Order: sequence, then structure tokens, then C-alpha cells
Amino acid sequence: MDQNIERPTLIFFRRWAKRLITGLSVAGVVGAVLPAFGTVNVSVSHQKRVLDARVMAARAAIQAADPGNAPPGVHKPARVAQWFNWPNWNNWNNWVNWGNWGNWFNR
Amino acid sequence: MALQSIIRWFGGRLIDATSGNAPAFNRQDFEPAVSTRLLILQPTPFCNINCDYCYLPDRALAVRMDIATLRTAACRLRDDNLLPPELTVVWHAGEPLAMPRIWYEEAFDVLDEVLGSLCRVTHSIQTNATLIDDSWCRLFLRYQVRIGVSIDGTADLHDAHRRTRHGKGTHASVMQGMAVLRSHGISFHAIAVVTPATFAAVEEFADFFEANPVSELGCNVEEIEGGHSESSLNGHEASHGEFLERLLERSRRPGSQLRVRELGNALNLIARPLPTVAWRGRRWPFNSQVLPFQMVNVAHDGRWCTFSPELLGQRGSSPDQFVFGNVHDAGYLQGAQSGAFRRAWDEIIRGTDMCEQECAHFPYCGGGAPVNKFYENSSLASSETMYCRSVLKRPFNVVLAQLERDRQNVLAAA
Repeated sequence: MDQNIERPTLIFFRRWAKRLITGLSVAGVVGAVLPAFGTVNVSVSHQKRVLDARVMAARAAIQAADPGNAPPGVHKPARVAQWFNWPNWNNWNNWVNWGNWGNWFNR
Repeated sequence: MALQSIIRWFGGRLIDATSGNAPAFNRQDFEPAVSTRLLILQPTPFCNINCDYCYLPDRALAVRMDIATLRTAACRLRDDNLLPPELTVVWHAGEPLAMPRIWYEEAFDVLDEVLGSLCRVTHSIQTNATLIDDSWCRLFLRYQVRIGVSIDGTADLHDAHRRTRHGKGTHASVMQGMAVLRSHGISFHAIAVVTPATFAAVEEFADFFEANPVSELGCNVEEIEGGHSESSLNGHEASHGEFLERLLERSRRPGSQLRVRELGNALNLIARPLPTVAWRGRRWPFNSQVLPFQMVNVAHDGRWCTFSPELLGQRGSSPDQFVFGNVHDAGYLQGAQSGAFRRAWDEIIRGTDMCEQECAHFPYCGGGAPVNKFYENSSLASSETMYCRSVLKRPFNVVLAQLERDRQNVLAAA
């Protein structure tokens, strides 16, 4: 009688133990293999797309507000400069030409 | 630290064994053509003060570059046809003003003699300002030298780290030097090393630079480099972000004198795309630290390197791991065929590739800073560092978020 009771219980636990081991193994393999197929890169790609979209939108707003982009004869206030209170914010040329050479100093 | 050294040593041996795969440098591979826009000269490693976060290993060594070495360094640049239309010469490492004034007069004249007819040369000096007097100012004005002063803000913040060898604070001397510069009408930028103490005192820090305006304020974090193996920023990066947000807010106030370099750079990066550089069919956003010969760094004795300037004078797996030659022996381009150069170039390319694959900010950066990769990740062939999070990503994100908040208003106004 005892044996009849124990046997189905053992079978039940063995079956679930096997399932658990199989499941963990599959999860381990998937976890190990998928990144090599680009799962991680897909995540970075998504981050890049999101960031690029944000930057493009901000860039468009800057260009729209940049008096340099105004049609001839139309005056637009330098709103970008106003945002940052930097009359000389538009120092791209200086920057590329090492106007910010102090970048190379650390202390 | 010991473990890092062991990893670095084994890394160096492994690279030695595989250096046959490192790419040979060929200037024809680059578009636009390779040229040197920044010549960084280290006239002496000696510094008259002893900041506790300094990474320079030989700052107690009172040796000097001789004029013959300087002349050779300039001639090599000319002979290798690396000169751009405009060349900035930066006098750096140790304290540049620890050299005699008369030495600079001769040095500036020699550079003008060798390079003056081929390109426009401008001189820049980053100084702790403790030695500045009227005579120095006359020299700066005569040669139109651009000046940067290293000061951390208020006396409390500054004197906590920037001290003499006897442990005395240097803030009063720096303020005196700045006053002398101003009395001669010489404008200058400032560089401050910011720490958690600065983050906690952001209002006082901003007030200081409002009261003592400079053309631009660079806020450097304490980097892990050379013998300086820990940074106070560890565990405080969120506070650094809040600090930048507050500085942005302060700089936007009407009439504010604050011009924060990191925020300005971020705005520039958002406003326009970086120029790109092509190399063997690949194209990278321009980053002067990962491209050969954009910067050439020459030590007092003629040893030189390129890429990150801070690599010169550092000790990797060997004392000369990042020395690619000596101007007394051969030209720069010949040095680019050395094993040391090829190993570094190979690792830097791989590091740049990793940045491209792993980082959303790559189009706005182009591959980070090799020297920080080396010291933080134990390899040039690596990607993200605390440095790039702090100097590029965080300011970029802060400025972008501000633009997004403002965007609707601006578009409505336009």
C-alpha cells in the first residue's frame, strides 16, 4: 500500500525535476547563444535610434531658431543664444580648430 | 592595483606575440589627409606645487627641454609634411612657467623661424598661475599666448587638493596670478577639477566664477590615470549629473558670466554633426584622440607619442609602452612603423569598434579617450569609461533634455 502511494509521488517529482532541468538548460543555452546573434546589439541599435531621433528633433529646432538659417531679409532673434545665454555659443569653427584646446588638460 | 598590473603585463606580452597582425600605418589610407593640429610640448615634467590628484609620475624631476630638441621636434613635423594651415602649440606637463621666461622667448622665436612661413602658429599655456607676474604677462602679450588657469573655485575647494609640497594651500597665489593677468587685460579660461565636495557646494562654486569671470570654465572630473588609481567620482556620478544640471540652470540666468565648456561642447555636438574621417573603407566621427598624428606630444628629452596626450610619460607594461620614438633619432612617420605604435593603433581601432557597437553616443564622440580606457579598463581595446560617461554622455544628456524642454516654446515662438 505504501509503495502504491509513494510511486506516483516519485514519478511526479521526477517528471517536474526533469522539466526544471531541461528548462534551465534551454534558458542557459539561449542566454549564452543569443547575444552572439545580436540580441545585445539590437538593444544598442534601439538606443541609438531613440537617441538619434531626439538629437535630430533638437537639431531641427536649433536650426529653425538660428538666425543664420533665416531667409534673406527676415530677422530672427538668436533664440538659441537666448536659451543658453551664450552670445557666442555658435563657436563651431573655433571648436573644430582647437578653440577648446583646454580639453586636453586634466588638472 | 596589483591585479591590474598583472593583467596589463600579460596583456602586453600577448600583444607582443600578435603584433604581426597590427595594421601598418599609411597616411594615404586617411581621408581627409593626416595633419597635426595640436603640438603638445612638455618643456619640463617639474611642477612647483603638488596637487593630490595629479597623474604625472615625474613632477618632482627638474629637467628641461633644450632648444635643440625643440627645433628638431618642429623640423620633424615640417619634414614629414604634417603641418596644417593653423597649428596650436600647447605648453603642458608639469608647470610650464617653471621654465625661465628667456627660454620661452627663444623657443617661440625658433618655432616661428622653422614653422612661421608654413603655417600660422599660436601658443597656449595651461598654468597653475602661482608664478605669474608682470614680466610673464608682457611675454604673453608680446607673443599672443593664450592662457588657461587651473583653479577649483573657492579657497576651501581649491586648497583641499592643490597644495605646495609643504602642504600649504595655493588659492591665494592663484588669485594673485589671475589679478595680474586681468591688470594686463589678458583674458583666460579656467579649468577646475570637480569632486563630490564641489557638487555639494555647487552654488558657491558657480558664485565664485560669476564673481571671477573667465572666458570658459572647464569642469574636469578626477580621472583615473597613471599613479592616480582612484577617483572621488566613483559612486557619485548621479550627483555629478545634478551638478551639471544646476550649472546649466545658472548659466542660463540673464547676465550670467558662466560658460561651461562641457555644456557648450554638448550643445555643439547636438547642433551639428561631427565631421568624419575615412580609413580603409571605414568612416568614423572625428575624434582627435583615436586618430594618429592629430596631436603630437613631445617630452622634454624628445620622446614622443600621439593619440591621448596623457599617454606620454605614463608607464604601461613597460616604461616606454607608449613612446613611439625620439625626435633625435627619426621622424614621426618613421616612428609610426614601430611595434609600439602599431600595437597601440591596433588596440585603439578595436576599442573604437567596440564603442561603435556598444554605445548609442558613438556618433557624437567617435571612440572615447584611449588613455582612460587603458587606465580604467586595463586595455586600449575597450569601450565605456567613467571618463566618457562624465565628460561626454552626461553633459550631452543634460543639454539634450534642456533643449527638449525648451523646444516647444522655441518652435511656437518661431
